Amino acid sequence: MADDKEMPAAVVDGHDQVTGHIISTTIGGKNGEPKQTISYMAERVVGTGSFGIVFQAKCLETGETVAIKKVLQDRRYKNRELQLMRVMDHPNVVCLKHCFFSTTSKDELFLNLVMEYVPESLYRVLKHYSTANQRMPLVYVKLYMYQIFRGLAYIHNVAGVCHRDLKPQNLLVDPLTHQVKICDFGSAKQLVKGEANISYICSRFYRAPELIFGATEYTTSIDIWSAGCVLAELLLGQPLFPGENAVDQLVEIIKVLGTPTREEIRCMNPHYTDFRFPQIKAHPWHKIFHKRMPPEAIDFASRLLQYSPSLRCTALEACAHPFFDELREPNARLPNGRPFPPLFNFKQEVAGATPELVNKLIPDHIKRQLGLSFLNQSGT
Amino acid sequence: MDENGGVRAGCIRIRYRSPRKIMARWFSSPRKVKGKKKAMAEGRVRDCDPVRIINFSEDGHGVCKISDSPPQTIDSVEELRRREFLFSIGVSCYLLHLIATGREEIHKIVELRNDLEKLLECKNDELRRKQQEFVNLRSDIEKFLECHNDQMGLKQQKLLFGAKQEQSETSPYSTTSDVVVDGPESSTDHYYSPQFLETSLSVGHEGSLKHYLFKGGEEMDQLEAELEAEFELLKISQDQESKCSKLNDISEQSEDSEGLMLREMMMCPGPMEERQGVCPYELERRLHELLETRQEEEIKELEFALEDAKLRLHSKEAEASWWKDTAYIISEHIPQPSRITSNSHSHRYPLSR
Repeated sequence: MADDKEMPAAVVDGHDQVTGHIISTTIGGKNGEPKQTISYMAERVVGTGSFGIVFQAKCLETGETVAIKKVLQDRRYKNRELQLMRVMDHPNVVCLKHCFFSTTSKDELFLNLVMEYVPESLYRVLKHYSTANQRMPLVYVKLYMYQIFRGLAYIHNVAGVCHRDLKPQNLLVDPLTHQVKICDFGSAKQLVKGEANISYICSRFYRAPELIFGATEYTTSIDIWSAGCVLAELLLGQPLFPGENAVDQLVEIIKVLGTPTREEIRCMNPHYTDFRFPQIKAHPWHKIFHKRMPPEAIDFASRLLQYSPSLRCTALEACAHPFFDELREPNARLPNGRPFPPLFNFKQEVAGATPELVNKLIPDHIKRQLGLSFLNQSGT
Repeated sequence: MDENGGVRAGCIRIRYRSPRKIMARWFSSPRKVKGKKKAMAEGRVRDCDPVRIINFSEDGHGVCKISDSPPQTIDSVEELRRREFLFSIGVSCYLLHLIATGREEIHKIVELRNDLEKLLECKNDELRRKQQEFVNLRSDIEKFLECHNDQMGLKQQKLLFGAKQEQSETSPYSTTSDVVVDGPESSTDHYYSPQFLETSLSVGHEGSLKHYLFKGGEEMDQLEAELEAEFELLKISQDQESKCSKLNDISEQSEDSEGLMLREMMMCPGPMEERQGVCPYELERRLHELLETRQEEEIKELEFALEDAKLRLHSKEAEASWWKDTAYIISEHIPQPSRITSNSHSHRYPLSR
């Protein structure tokens, strides 16, 4: 990452066509460091969007497979995604390896973000299960959701950033280790209290109600709502709130949570408190999921999907929820007998947490391994 | 029963087991029953439970063999008569008890049906009330439109006659004064659609509601405000944007990259409301629809439950009437056993009284 901070290292001649092309760039060369050439062979496009494209590439020098996100760069501004990704360093957040600019014949400037390559996304995993007409095993739901909340705890507490576009497509899954990484910080922003932000962010099914109500002073709890929607989708096998447009989205939410009270509306957007909406009864949570759904899963979903942003639990509190207790058991393993990916190697994300919360987050067997006897004492 | 045909207590006990068996005893031996009554009773029994009766006839030897037994002594006949009489009383009591419990059950079902009917009526009333509210709302709007058009007609006349343009009309809504001044041609950006104005103009000028014209400014304002809300509700509005934007005039200022803004705008394509918060009137309308759908579903469920209750009631009623008829038949036959037994010493197979 140190090298990356010397960027832009080089401006590369790019081509509009991606696949099969070799892109070479140099890094270093400042402060007496030797220049180093890195070449990437573009292999295939793995994602396209309004932002640009993401393609899979291979580093010719190291043989490592990477994902390169190529976005059009406005010469007048710094790229926010790049600024944010540079400071991120967490096992559940996709890692930026390197970046460079490239130009085209039309004199357009592109920013290329070279990131670690993770082959699957939660979206594809979900699709796999739904095509097989199956539900995702609960242990995977727990494992994936736990890592999502751990990643969010880091993004929110350490980097002070709100992702603002959390959805299964932006949650990468390693099919071997089952490690989850949050990606696509194209919408992410450091939220400053008292400052207005745009409300038309986040993909529809995962948009928090305050965003649909057009709130501009929201908090990182919009990511918690999105994560709640992802949890419900993993449990149900389909989106919980499949709205066709903004109003429809809100109607779908109201069908489940009932009409928000005046107080809840005030919490979301005070401009709407003058309106009296018809009273729709809430649908009981236990009726939304199948009969054998464990009560802690239902309780967890209901704690995330709250109208009042302040009532939603924080990402770290979510990690400590009893729903994840199975992961904290001493002999807990993947169904194939392999160990879980690292789940308890907390660092800065627990910095501001209460001792009770930290005590809950780190299982006893890990504490014993680490010799954290003080935590045991403080928790009891 | 012993080998000599004597009746033992054990055999008699078997005979008292159930009303069905008792009836089988009565009707399985047609020779004991005479004429019309015999045919009737047979018919009833056949309708009710022929299989069980036949079964009983087959295995209830103790009873069936009575008629086959040789003539008995007077003592034993007396004893038999006494027991027959006691038995008949027992049967009657049991039947009466059954009828009573059947009635109770019927009463319960009738109560249930009444409750359901009440509930359904309640729901229907609610629906009717809502419909009425809607109709009232609609007629209010129509009235106002007529009035509005009358007003416009007057204004146009004034303009035609060269009257001075009226300044600062009573309405606080600039949109309304725009219409008044510029006429429908220039109202493309207006809250009301030009087509709507044209059609409403054609139905105006009837003067039936001219009194609206002479109402005070404040009342007019209120009417206009109400109309505005109602228009939104009925989705007549062609341009919701201008309304909804009132709610959310805080613009995004902190974005530091136009590319990002562009990206973000492209992420959520669609009407302006997606970017500025939903239109409350549209949401209200949708929620009313949802409420209506839910109520309709509830009514359907209740209707289904009512139908089900009715069916159950009918079956219970049929059962009850069957019991009634059976009781009637039994009561008709109650005095008969004594006669049968009293005549048994002279007639082996008594067929008439």
